[in-house]
Amino acid sequence: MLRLVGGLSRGSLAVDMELDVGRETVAIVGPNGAGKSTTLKLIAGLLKLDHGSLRCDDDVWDDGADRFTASEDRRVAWLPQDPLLFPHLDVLSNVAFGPRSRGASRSEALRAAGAMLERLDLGRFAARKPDTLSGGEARKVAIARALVTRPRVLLLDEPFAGIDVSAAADLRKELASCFAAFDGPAILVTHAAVDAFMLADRIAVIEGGRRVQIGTAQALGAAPATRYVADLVGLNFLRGVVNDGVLSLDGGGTLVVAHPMEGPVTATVHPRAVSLHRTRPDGSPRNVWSATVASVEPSPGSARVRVAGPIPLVAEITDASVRTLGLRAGVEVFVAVKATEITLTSV
Amino acid sequence: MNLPRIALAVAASAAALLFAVPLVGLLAHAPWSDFPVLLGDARVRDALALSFAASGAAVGVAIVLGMPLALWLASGRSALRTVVRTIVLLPVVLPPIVAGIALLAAFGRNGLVGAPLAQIFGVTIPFTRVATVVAAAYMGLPFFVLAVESGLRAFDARWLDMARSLGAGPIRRFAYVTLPMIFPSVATGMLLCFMRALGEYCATQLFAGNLEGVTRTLPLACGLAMETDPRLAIALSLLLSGGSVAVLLLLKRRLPGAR
Repeated sequence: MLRLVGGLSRGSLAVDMELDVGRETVAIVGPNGAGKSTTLKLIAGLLKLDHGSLRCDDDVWDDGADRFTASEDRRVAWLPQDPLLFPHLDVLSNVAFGPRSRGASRSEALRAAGAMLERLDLGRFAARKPDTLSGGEARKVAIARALVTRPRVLLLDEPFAGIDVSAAADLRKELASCFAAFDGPAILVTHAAVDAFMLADRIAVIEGGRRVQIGTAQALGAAPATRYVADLVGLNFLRGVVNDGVLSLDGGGTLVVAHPMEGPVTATVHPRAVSLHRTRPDGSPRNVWSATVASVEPSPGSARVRVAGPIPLVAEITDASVRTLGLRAGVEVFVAVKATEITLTSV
Repeated sequence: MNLPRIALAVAASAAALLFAVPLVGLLAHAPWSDFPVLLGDARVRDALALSFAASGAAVGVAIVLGMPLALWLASGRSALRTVVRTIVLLPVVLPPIVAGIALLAAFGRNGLVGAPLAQIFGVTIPFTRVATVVAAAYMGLPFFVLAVESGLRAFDARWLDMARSLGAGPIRRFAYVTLPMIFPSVATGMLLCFMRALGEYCATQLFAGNLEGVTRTLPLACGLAMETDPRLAIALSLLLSGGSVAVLLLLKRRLPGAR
């Protein structure tokens, strides 16, 4: 259990955070400069709190004053955007660096490093120098290097930044199994809501150094606290399998998609791309079905309408339309989603 | 039409010749056939050994004292650092004769530090082998500190954050991360320090004297030979030039315009 309350102010950046992370994965999402990386550095012990406190289980790591556990004594796995593999060491020695620093003998450290590389299917890179690895490979080696130290807390900063789509899909799978196997608090910083949805149990949205909302993707989608949450985090996420342009959803129902992707995916639909009608609409939308309105929640500048039925979705509708259509819980509507408005991410 | 370019080419060639001609002069006057006899002389070998010992010791001093100094200088920005850096770099621009006089004034028998040192501990530095090392270190240290500090300043501290988060304490971070990653700068500093120490003449002569077998280093032997046996002086000069060229070749990749 990790508990961070407080923060620091440094120049233009002020972070004042409240974050509780149990044995789960929490994704931190927020705009650039919101204080995401700073929050991770505070937890990693690379920055010190000005005020507040940071605890891990019963240990006070930082009380904003005199008490401060140095980073090297925290056992926190910190994975910044840049994998920062030591360029002068080969992959095996990079992975052995942590155990060696924590007092393991040279042979023990190398054995542990070798075993971890095998576990993550990276054994073939052991003798390679980091500058010969691809971006995705370097990320995975960095993960191996962090995990081999048996960290108490796992911190990942934008793990998919700067790597290509197929490597990202591969890495996403790797991370999903890492998080599943990891038995402590894990925090993932990302700017892609779909990654947060796919990898994390809860999503914490931070803006301007403050946590504005925390909850499951569904909770955030149904009642986003700010415009930013509504636009970038409060999206509809659906899991399913694509076969020949048709997405069969895990929860039942199908959608026509306009994406040349096959296999298991996460589909993202922006609430504004979901339109509601009282009569069956004509024209282009190929995905039209009838459903019942489950709830109508006010949202900054508009309303979030949740529809039940085979495919539960949130639609963002202007207040005027809500009135014209007479939308309220229990009303029957036709839901329409254009195939081109469905974004797919391979799982 | 191409006058500016021609003028530029002429000026550049003249500058290059200015450096090349003296070297060719040395080569032209080289007593090639007598080399083994001239350089095989016991006094030459003594001077050579003394020079290498003094310069090597100067590099040792640079590592032991210069490394911590460079670490401190690179660890931040402050007025004190600027003052200290200026003092440390002074020998680079100071006329060597001034350096010699200053060393005598400080460590000489009646010097600021030399006098109490002699009275209390009975230790005298000037005109001993230690003095050759002090003079060599005084002239060579700035090059080492300068090279290492610039290496440290270019070094990305995020590597240290990473090492720290992996559990490495300060000593381990320095030995296994900083040092290997700035090694090219350290090696450059050691070589420059060594060569400056090896070529030291004026301050050594003033502060350490010119005692055969004790403080007569290669440049001093060379200077003396110029008056007695110019062929020996040329042979020694070629020896020193050869060493210098070798160092430049070693440093080639670290010089501007390197490929």
